Amino acid sequence: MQQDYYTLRAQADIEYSIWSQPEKPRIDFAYDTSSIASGTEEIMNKLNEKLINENHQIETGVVAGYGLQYLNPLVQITFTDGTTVLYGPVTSDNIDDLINEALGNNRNPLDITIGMLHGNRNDIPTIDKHSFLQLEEERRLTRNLGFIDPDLINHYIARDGYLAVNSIFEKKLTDEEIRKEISDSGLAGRGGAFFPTGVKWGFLSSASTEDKYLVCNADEGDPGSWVNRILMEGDPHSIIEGMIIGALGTFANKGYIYIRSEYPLAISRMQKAIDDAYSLGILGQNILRSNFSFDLRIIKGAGAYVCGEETGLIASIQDSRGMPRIKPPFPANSGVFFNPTNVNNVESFASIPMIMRNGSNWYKEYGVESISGTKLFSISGDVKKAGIMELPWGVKITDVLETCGGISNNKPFKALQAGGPLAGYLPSSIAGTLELEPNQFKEHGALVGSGGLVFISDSACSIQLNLLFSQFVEDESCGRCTTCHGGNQRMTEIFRRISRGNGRIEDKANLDIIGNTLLYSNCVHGQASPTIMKNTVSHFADDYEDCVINKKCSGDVCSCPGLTKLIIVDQFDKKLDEAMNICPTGMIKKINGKYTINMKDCIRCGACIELAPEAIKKVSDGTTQEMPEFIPRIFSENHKSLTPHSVLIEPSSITTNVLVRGEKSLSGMENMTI
Amino acid sequence: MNNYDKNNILNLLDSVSPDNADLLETLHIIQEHFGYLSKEALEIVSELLSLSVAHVYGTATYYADFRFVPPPETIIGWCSGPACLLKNGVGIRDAMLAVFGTELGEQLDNPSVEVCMAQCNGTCEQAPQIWVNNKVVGKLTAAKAIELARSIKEDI
Ligand SMILES: Cc1cc2nc3c(=O)[nH]c(=O)nc-3n(C[C@H](O)[C@H](O)[C@H](O)COP(=O)(O)O)c2cc1C
Ligand code: SF4
Ligand code: SF4
Ligand code: FES
Repeated sequence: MQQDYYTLRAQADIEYSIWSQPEKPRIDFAYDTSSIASGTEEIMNKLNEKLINENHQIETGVVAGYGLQYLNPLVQITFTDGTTVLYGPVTSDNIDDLINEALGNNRNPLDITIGMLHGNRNDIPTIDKHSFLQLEEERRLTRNLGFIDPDLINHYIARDGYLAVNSIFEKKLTDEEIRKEISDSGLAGRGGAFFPTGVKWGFLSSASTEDKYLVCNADEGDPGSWVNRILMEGDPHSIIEGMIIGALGTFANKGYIYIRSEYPLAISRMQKAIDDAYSLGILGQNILRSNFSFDLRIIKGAGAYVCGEETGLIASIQDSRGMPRIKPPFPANSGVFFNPTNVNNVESFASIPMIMRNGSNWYKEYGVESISGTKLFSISGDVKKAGIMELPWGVKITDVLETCGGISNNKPFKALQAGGPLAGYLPSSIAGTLELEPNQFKEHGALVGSGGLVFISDSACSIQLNLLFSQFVEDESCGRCTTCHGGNQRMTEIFRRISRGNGRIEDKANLDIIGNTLLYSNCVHGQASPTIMKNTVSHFADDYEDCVINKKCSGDVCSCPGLTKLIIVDQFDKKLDEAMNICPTGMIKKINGKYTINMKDCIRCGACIELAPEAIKKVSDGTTQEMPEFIPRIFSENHKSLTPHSVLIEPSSITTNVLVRGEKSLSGMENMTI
Repeated sequence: MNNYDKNNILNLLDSVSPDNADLLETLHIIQEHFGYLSKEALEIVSELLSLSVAHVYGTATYYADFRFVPPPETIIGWCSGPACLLKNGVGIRDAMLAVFGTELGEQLDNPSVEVCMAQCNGTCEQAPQIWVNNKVVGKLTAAKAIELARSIKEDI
């Protein structure tokens, strides 16, 4: 028998109030992918062991990290008066401190204290005073980070979770009223294209097939963007609730969340959340005793960037190669298994419950004229402090950089790469004048994209970076369009050649042609793949001319290998022996007491400079340098062939009744026997 | 676990069915269990999901996650994301490859190791990093990567 919302809520309130004001102090570890990467598990195990051995009256638990990733591993203590304090970076050496802190034995605040999340202690500043959070106005999408155990549905419910779904049932809101609220809020798709979510739902709602699908796009393939992961690991139910409301606003009856395989913790948290929602009657048949039903399941991706493109994603769900196809037909007409489908981003769905709970006007309190609300940004690259911020649209890029402590090693700010490898690459002279707002980026031929902000210092050369991004788009092309797979191969070849010191005057014209040709690709992957190249050619003319014509590369860490060489500036540096020993190619030699570096097989790995920074310098002297054709193969007799194609050389003896998947035009072949 | 017995595989797959968006899941289950997708496994999947072997094989080879020969003992995933690239990621990659004498994605028998491409998972505060059998080794430098690769090589 289903329970009604109020019964669930009453149970949840009890559980949550015990958790937020525990009888014994509780130490909660931030447990998410970033925390795990910073070694949280080891500290957690040690602390637990100690608590058991010494029989302390302290509980332990788990929360999601507060977003200050540069201070990982993070720990929270909730005291018996309900005060919660955040600490980090915690090491194994802090275990006794934390135990004493939890027991109230410390006189002074610990030096790893970050701030107070909740409560009223005079000696600890509240978290909103923290320097990294100065640009955040209010946590809305991330309001539950640090305030719930993300694995517990009751914590979500106690913080008004699923209230919005219930009030839709109570108020008997129609699909149209739901969509109107979403449209009025101005919510625009957070996957990067900023299409109005309410309008998109309208396309699906008008379809009248038996099965209609709602798909949550959690493929988050843009390197440097991890905002969706934060939501899935930190507040999984907000996404489920958003999808249920989406289903109510479109009459969808089936849902998928397509999560990239690089996010195993997000997958297991979302799975737990779905299972719990089913067991409380929040998913499945007759949700919260209504006559509405919605089924939801997870599809785990398998490592293909273009599966983030909605038609690629749909193909991937229906048992095929995740290759995007030309639109139309749009997913609203023909999507998963050729049924009407709507694809939205994780953050779009996570924004829905709060809009329904608080109204569209409330949502519009933040933002700018062109786009409303708050947005999650993930900040990385050459900055001192990497992490997550939830910002209202319209914040200045320079302010973001300042809040992140500026560029690391106090180098100059050279460029901003926002929104993944399709979205653009802007010089500091432009990026420094911009606000986080889609149209401002568009004016300069770039996009804000999905939330990644990678700050770049002048230790990187634009040409070398272009090569690396170009390799990414080449690698990730699905191969359907010659313009895209061939064009990106040519683009990569040109950049590789320039980077090896053999740039030619005519490269610019050829890159132009490639850029224009790529526009005739089926999907946005191909169309947008030359964005960074175009930005470079137009905004970084100096870097371009230097590398192509003057054969000089300005990069220091990330530089063109064929335009740089290593020289020994101090023969008497004691560290040169170490450098000689570390060299993986044996290119540093000591002959008659004199050190030499042979550039011919030097792979520019930089290990020697790292160990003898005063003695070995990287220089670019305006000439093309010798360099190896490939990574020198030292033990090459030892290799195992990797071609997968040898697996199925023998003819298969199997006869199956084949369901042909893929494009609708093949549907005449649906039942062939081969 | 290399026991590619048909019943063994079928037991793992009792929850999958044709035309139910189960192919990726099926391939993941098999790879998780056996470490790779063998010819036999792909044929069983084809039967189970009513898809041609060519379709199953074609789909599996599209995705970077799947392997078709038994995996090495040590898989080093190299992060190809921007934060890592800005911090000498390429140098780290090439240094490890030079120590092993392989190319990216090429498997070595002796030592049983492979350096393969991996994608940013949003732990960029650890950049530059690699994953050694899924365990992060962060804040790496080229010299540390060389030492790590040499220790793997010498361990055999
Ligand atoms: C190559 C490519 C990759 C994409 N990757 C993603 C992704 O990882 N996540 C995402 O939400 N949208 C991605 N998109 C955009 C989707 O196609 C789609 O527009 C989006 O999921 C719609 O959701 P929204 O309306 O909520 O923004 C990608 C698009 C392209 C062309
Ligand atoms: S543009 Fe590229 S990724 Fe998109 S369908 Fe064509 S080949 Fe595939
Ligand atoms: S850069 Fe690397 S390969 Fe070149 S000399 Fe230095 S250590 Fe050797
Ligand atoms: S770039 Fe390597 S983890 Fe993000």
